[in-house]
Amino acid sequence: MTPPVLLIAYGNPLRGDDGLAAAIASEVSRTLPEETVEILTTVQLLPEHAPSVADRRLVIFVDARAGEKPGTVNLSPVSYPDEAGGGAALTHHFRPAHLLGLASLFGRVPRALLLTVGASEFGYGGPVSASLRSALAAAAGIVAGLSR
Amino acid sequence: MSRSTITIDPVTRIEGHAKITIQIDENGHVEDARFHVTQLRGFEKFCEGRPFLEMPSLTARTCGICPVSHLIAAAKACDGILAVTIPRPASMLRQVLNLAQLVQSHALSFFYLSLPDFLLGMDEDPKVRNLFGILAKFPDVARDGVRLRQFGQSVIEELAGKRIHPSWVVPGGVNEPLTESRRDAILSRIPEALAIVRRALERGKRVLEDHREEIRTFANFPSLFMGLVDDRGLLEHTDGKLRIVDAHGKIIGENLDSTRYREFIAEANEGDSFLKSPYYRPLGYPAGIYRVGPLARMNIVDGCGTPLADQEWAEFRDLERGAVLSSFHYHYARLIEILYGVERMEQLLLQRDILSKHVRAQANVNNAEGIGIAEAPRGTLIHHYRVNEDGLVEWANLIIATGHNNLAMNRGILQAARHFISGRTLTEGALNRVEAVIRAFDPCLSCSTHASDQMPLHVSVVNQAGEILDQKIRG
Repeated sequence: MTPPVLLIAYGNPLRGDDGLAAAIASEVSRTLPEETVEILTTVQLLPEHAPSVADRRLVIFVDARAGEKPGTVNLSPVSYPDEAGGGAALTHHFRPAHLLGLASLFGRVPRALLLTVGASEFGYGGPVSASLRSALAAAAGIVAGLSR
Repeated sequence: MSRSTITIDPVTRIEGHAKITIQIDENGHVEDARFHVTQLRGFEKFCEGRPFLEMPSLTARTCGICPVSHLIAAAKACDGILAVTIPRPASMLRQVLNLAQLVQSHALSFFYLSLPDFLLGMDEDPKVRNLFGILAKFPDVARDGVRLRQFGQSVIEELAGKRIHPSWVVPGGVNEPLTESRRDAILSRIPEALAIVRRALERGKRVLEDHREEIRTFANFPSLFMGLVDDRGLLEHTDGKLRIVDAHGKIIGENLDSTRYREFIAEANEGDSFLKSPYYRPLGYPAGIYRVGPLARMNIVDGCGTPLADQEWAEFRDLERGAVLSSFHYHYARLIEILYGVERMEQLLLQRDILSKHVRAQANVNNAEGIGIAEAPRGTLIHHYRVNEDGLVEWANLIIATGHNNLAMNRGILQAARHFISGRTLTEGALNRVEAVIRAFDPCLSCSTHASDQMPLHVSVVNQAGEILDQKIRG
């Protein structure tokens, strides 16, 4: 049976703090059973993720966010179309709202949230900055709370 | 009126970074047009000194859309260095993987990047002329596009473990046999993929037929065509021999030995682009202009080799007496290749020995040189390496599909610019049509993004004094 919650953690683990979402997903997978939440880690969002998004109770997108104070955890609702418009870009500029738009082709559009963690080191290599460990744990806790 | 230059920078809805410049003469007529690739990758150079066994994984990083093509061409070059013939099951598995990539890449090109022009109109506002515009007006078509690309990607994942940059294809074969459950999972998805591509062909042929002006003016000229064919002259993407036909469809090069490709292909460098311009050596530069990719493949073969694709191919070849010359028909050819890809995958997966455990030949360095040729979605891909006794790469030459088409793309944008642009004023539709010529070839300039009309675009008509006569800004 398909788990009611889908966690989509996106970012490139080879680019420093951009791997934060994958690290959060890894933490969540240790604390929650598979039948509760399905975890999808990906370097970037793709239109082809849309069928997996449709018909869930909740979809949680997790991303590292440049331009915000490192360690700041934010949770915000996602809807389509969003403030940036319906959207035209694919691949590297594909946003959670775009995915919700396409999910309507495959079933019911779920409630969706975007969890971001401010980060600043996006150079080549890993791992995630040690200074973000507490934020990582806090974010994983929020995801776990939402998923139960 | 003074002479001026129109610059389209960047070109959108292609893989990678490029710009177009159009020279306008004193009378307001298009004098010349050039396609400039503005990025430098440098893989040939920084592969030097690496162990040749790393080459498939290293060169796959050239591209995030068609890494499988580089994997296969590189592995074939390494097979040559090992001096092995890979086991038949490994050869078939490489073919299935290559076809899966062909399907997902062609689906992206047709549904995501080009169909918005055809269904919503070349003159439509770029803010809505995209996949989401299709979603709003033709949701069934958008759904088919997503599903078809997902199918191709899922086959890659089933075979190779992941969708992008898999490392399953290795020198000597593949590193793991196919399991029965994974084979059956792929086979179970084929009926839906087949249904989608048949719908796409039915609709696509109608829609493309409505674009007579584009058919007439989008890189529509005589040239040579090149690609791989199998030993019966049928469509082949992974193995086979090179064949070259002329504009009349007459074979001028048959069973060409890949190890001697430099006898018939030479490369020219032009000062205004990082993309080299290969040409057919016997005719010289630039008369040796040729095209590769879906259109070329449809023109060189004697048939596809699968039932449904053969019917479509026969209809396609009825478009003209000789070779089909308009590059607008790359789109049509791409759809036929998707149909072939799905049919052929099924044929291969039903072979008795496809699940064999014998999928890799082992050997050490036995040759100092290896050449691998495969058909990437965009055309013929050549990897050529020389190694030392320790197997370290001393020299590498890569000729990518987009490079083969460089001369044709340049000539094509000149043809379209002369038809659609005149005088000092620009229209969005004219601008989009010049870009769409490039898009028909589906060039892959790097491993990077598909920016669908959201990349900033600034086009200016500037006279020699630097005075802006007209400009359009997008994004």
